[in-house]
Amino acid sequence: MTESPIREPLVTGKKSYAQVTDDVLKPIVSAPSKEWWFAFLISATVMMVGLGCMTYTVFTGIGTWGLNKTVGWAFDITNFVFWVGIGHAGTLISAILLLFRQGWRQSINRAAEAMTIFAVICAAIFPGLHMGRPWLAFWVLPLPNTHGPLWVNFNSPLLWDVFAISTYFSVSLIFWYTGLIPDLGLVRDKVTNPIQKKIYSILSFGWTGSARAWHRFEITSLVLAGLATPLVLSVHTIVSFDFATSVIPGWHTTIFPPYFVAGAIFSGFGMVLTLMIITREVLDLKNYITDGHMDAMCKIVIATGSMVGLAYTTEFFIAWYSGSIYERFTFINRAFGPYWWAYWAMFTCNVFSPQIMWIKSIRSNMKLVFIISLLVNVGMWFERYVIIVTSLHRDFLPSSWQMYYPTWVEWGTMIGVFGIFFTLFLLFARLLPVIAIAEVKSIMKVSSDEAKEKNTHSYASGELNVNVAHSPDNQKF
Amino acid sequence: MGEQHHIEGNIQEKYSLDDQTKKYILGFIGGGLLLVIIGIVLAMVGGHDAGHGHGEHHGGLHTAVWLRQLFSNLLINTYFFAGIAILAVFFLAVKTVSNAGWYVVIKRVPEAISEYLPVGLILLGIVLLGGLFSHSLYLWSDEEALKADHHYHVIKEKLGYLNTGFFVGRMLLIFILWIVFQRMFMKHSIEQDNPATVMSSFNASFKTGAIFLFVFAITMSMAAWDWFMSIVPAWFSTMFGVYIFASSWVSFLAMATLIVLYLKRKGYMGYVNENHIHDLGKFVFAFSIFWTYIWFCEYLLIWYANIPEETFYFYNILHSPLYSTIFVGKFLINFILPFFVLMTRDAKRNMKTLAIVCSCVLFGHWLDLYIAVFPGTLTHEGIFGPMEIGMFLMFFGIFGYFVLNKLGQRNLVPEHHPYLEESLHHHVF
Amino acid sequence: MNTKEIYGIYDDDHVLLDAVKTIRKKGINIKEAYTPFPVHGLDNALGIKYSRLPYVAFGFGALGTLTAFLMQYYMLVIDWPVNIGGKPHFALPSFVPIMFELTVLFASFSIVGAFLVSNGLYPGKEAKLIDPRQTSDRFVLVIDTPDNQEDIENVKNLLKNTGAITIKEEEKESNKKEVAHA
Repeated sequence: MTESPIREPLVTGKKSYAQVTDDVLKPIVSAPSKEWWFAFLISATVMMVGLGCMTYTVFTGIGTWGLNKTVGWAFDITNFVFWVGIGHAGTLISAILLLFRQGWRQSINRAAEAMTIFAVICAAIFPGLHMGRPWLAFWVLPLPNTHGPLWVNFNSPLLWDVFAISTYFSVSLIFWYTGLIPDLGLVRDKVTNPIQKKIYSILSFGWTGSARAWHRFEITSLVLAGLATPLVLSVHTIVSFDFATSVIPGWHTTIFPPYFVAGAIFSGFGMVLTLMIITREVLDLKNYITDGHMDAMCKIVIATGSMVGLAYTTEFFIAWYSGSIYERFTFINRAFGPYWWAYWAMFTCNVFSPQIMWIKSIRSNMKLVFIISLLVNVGMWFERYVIIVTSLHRDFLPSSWQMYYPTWVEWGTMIGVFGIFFTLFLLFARLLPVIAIAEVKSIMKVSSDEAKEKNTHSYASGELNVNVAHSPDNQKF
Repeated sequence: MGEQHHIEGNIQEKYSLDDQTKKYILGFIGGGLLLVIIGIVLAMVGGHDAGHGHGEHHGGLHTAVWLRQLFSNLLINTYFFAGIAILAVFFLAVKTVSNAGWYVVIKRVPEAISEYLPVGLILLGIVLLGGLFSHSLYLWSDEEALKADHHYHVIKEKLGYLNTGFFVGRMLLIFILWIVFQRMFMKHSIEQDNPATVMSSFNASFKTGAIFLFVFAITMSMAAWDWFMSIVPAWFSTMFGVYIFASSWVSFLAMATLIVLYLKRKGYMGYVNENHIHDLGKFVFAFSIFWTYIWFCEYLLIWYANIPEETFYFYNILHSPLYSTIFVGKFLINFILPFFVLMTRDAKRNMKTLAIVCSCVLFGHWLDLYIAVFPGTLTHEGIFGPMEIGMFLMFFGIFGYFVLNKLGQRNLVPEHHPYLEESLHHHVF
Repeated sequence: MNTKEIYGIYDDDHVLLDAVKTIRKKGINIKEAYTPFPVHGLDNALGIKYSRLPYVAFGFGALGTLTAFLMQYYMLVIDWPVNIGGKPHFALPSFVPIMFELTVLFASFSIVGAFLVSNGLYPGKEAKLIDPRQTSDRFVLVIDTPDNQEDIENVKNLLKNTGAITIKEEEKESNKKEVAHA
């Protein structure tokens, strides 16, 4: 392995391996700080509000929501798609960037994967509630009907969703856990409290770090990455099928699959930025999640934000180009109809706001990046709202044209789910190593600041180690 | 191979076109030309006269069949290779922006491919203009035929976009932007051969790459709509730009891999080890899957919703014995073959296997363009014969000559590139 | 046959890698190495063969595809055909998403399962550590103790010369005794 000295170091502070262990495990070994308790209590309170609204919905029925005959999907599905989208960045970082050998992923993949799992849990709540009778949720499984073998409808994209989301959740979970095993072994050997030691000992599966185990570990990670990459594409593709297989103008458009995937990565990176800016500050991990890491993520946000912008314009143009009056009406109505504010909020947050990060000084100002990352989250929420509500509220029959107004129950559920998400993330940050310690250590010899300094001299003065003899007969073909 | 400290080959070597290769290229061009002439004669003798289709229910272009066939072939092949060249610029931009290091030892190959761009675009421009003014490619360009077409009521809504003046304007804009960025990348590349300017140019190339990617996203979609989607002017699909991009991208990857393998076979590039080959193989493998994903999603959504405004496009393809065979065939060549053959690590590292798969995939994506053009220009009179094969061989020869010639003009390795050392020591698990 | 093992404990991965190469060049077999993270090139240096785990994933993946196809075909075409939107009962394009998902599901679970089984890992298994810091910042080489004393000294000297900071000799099971310090 050789790395060019002009690449920015991925680990700074001249750390030794033991220091890396201590730095990352500090929150697990020590008692939680006041700030942590403060954040945890707020999140848990918000979570309780959400759970209350959900309980109310389940006991009373979804008549407590603002849905009507025309707008049958609104906050519920908007939030579902929003949270599934958030989850995508985790798999992108852990799988796609692993395949593309982007070394900077090592310090953020653990937290991003955890975020994926929590986001998918949050997402699954919404279709569950929307069923109205969640205790009958097992009806989505291919089980024979009690009145005879009437099966589920495999032609329905909603059923594809069931398979896609459950596969995505379980595969992300085992991918994440497999990656955690070596670090859990480290935690087990580091903690002193006997109860903690016992728990981490069970969780670490008896990991000792033999060379053969590492070899298999790396191969398993690669294969899982190879599987997770098309999986992550398929999940948001299938979510987009929920809309695009229909004949509703504004929903049925062939670019939806890649456009949803790009949007998901965009929103996911927005959320990763939000979380990482706080995490590296609070847990004191700036030597591992460096400014270079933040810069790389900002660039991905610019790229995916532009892709989303391209998709918006493409849709708008093709709606006109189609020559179909219904297509044309839907898009004019989106931008200038009663929900114009949602459309322009989406456009401003998603397409315009990331573009200012082309300027380096803005990318390196963490306060501004934090604000932009929040705007991206808001914008992507509005994107789903625009797609769902504005396409539905103008029905084929003008007599059924209706507006949609969310109720306090829907607001409460939506906010409460953020509480669930942050509560889970805060617990994760206390109980498990937020950085993949083994993976970070494995790149330190080539990518840390110390290694860079050592190599620069030999690189600058040394001749290339190349055999000059040109030997055409030596080639194997 | 674990840690490699010893690197084979000479990094100061230069490529030169040998006689054997020259003979092959001449053979391709000559043989291709012969087949094209045979094809034209056959089409003129056996084909229908001008004016066929007047007032008939299927509508379409009125120009003589042989002329439409000729222009369809010219469009496919001029775009196919120009598309490979612009995707070479895209490759350079992506690798620059993503800070990749492994590709440096093969960097000259995409650079040489991109040098074909000006030639390719001039040829493409001539074909587009010729097709436009002889009414042999675009139904919307022929008022008389258009009014007789049963989709006229839809197409007339789009004439604000689909008209000769605007079309030519957009074409020139796309050409100019593409050539300007190609020249900028070459300028960076030449500056990076000079130790005094290498770092400043290297840093500046990030900006060029980022801006190009932005421009490329828009121009590529526009090119796909204008040159291919508007062949069936009543039809529309928002995915189409992505689809043509995916097709050309895999063509480029296969072509670049083939050229690297050719150079290795000729005894050059000893420093390109099996890890680099593995990476190229992974690219072909992964983006073959990506292409299939785009292709399948577009088809599935149109098939599923079954709206007549869209479905007729695939209906016409699937109800023609020739087109449906090619439609299914390209799926087999572009997905099943690379997926199953290149799945294992060993296959991606085996140069012979990789060369065979890349050749097939290259042809498979040429078929993508066939399906994008022929069902629109020739409707039910579609044909696959000597002209199609001949034209491909001919352009392949021309492309090969230009690219290999450019490859010989500079050292095969950018000696002063800051990531060269990384690339020479490249090792993948 | 001796029932003891010699452990060489190192504190740096590059030193370890060079040590492995030197020791193996002398014809001494290294039984196992323990490292806190995957050391790049160590598997090759130790002569570990490329694992066949991916084949497990491929086999089960294919099984997943087949399962999904047969399940949908049986339920929609054979057992209870229903007219859905005028589509044919055997609507292949809409079978594809679930075929894909089950392929990935089966392949992923099988490779993780195979990974755990081949390494003998399971919840609650007791980890037998040679050095308490081997999961953090110590690297351990394990060599079978040779039969005669001269060879034992040779191995120990070799470990010491290649940079081991601690050298231990122990019964394979337990019975600890520190032999030498660097």
